[in-house]
Amino acid sequence: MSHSPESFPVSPKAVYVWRGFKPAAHAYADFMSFLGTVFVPACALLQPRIGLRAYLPCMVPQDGKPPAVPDQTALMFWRDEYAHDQAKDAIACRIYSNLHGDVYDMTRSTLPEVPTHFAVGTPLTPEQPYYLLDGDADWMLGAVQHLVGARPAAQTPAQFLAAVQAWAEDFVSRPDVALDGALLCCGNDYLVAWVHAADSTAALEASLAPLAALTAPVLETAAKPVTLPAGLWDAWPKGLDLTVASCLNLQLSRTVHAAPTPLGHTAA
Amino acid sequence: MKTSNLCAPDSVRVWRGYQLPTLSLDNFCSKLGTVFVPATVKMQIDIGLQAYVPSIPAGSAGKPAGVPDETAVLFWESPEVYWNGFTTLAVRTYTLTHGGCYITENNKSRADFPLLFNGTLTADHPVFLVNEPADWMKGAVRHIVGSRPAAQTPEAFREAAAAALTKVQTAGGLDAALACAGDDYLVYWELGSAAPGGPNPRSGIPLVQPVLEWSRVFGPAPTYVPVGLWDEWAGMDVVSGSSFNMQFERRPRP
Repeated sequence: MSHSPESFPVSPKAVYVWRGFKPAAHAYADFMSFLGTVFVPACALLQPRIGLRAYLPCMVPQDGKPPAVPDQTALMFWRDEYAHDQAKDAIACRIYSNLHGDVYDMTRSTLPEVPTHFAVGTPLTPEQPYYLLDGDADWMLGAVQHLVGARPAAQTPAQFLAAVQAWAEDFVSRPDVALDGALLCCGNDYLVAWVHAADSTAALEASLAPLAALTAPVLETAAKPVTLPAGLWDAWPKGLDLTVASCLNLQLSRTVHAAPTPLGHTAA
Repeated sequence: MKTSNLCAPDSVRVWRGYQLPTLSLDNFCSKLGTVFVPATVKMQIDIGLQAYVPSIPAGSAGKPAGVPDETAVLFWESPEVYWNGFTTLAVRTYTLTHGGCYITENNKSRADFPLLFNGTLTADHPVFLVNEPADWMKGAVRHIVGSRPAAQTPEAFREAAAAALTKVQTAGGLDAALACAGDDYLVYWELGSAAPGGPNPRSGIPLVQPVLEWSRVFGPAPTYVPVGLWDEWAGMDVVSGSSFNMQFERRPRP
């Protein structure tokens, strides 16, 4: 399959699946404001040149959300499996990484982030992300559907995980040809899932509806493509208003060369 | 134009930082060298940074806890340019990295603009001694940090420090000088025309040092960050006692 020059498909092994919890003492409005004015745009502007290929952050609505469900989710796709760690060779990545401790409860938010292949017949490990489709995909382009759901109160964590596993086994046994990416992570008390189609007009609600039915849904939405209106050094006092569009697919400025530039070389 | 890099003496943020107690000295220095010092330069040149002189008293033998662990002077095209910087993502992002290095609660670590020294010192209010513009990136900077004598009250300490600074101001011969006293510390910088690191017969440090119980003198070394934000670079080697006069290409003045 050929891709347009602007498309940068990456392996499903090259994504970091983030589930963030705000510090208990912080108001959600402040958390959201900080993410919108600094954190989300900083990620989108500091890291594409050193390997970030797609970034899909999502604020999780608080109304009726059980505390065990994350306050924010994000997918961060990198050039390859090694790009995330290699990016730390650049000051830009280290600046961004240094922000994390201020915004999240890192005790709760430090979770496995790199997905593994979902194997039929192998029980789901709580908090371990899985990819359900093996091919490369460009998640910045196309359509993305995202689900955040809580474990039904009547179920035990074991029952919940077993039900989700059954859904995943059915999903991979009868793959939807419209989809080229699918990610799932199930904790004891919640699940998060995303599906991707290369066709930006694809309607993907139905793809995750059976999974949503196994949960007390907190969020079911399509990711909205958003291009930042300013660069790092432009006047942009308000930043992103995450109350308006809470599930984003940031449209990054991407180049073929996407890695820290070795000393003595000039970036393309 | 050569004079375009001169900065007014009140266009400087005078920083006194205290390291997070959860960081070891090695981790603190590592964060400064790999993130904070280079980020200060690379994130802020384009919004008007004109000079940056950080020093690391942390880890100095005998340094009392009340003396800052890191000091810095950051010169801007003007105070207005500094405040306008917060409309940019770069400055908001840079500013929030402070939380990973410094105690920020209760304004423990802080930066302030100075006022012209009039013979008295107010706690944590910096002063400038020479009411002339100067270019702190060039020339020789000398810096001293020190502590209040244990037997003195903070008020008596500031009175003694003010008397010493009055002598410095009266003696003249310096291109520029800055100072700030807290309850427990004094920080003082001077700019002379000698070569960096060289002796300055007009130095005010011999006048200031006697009022301090513990002190350390720094000679900031002209230092370049050889890369950009997105280049491969492990960072600067920062250790206890490091002191830099960061060298960079400033943006053209409007």
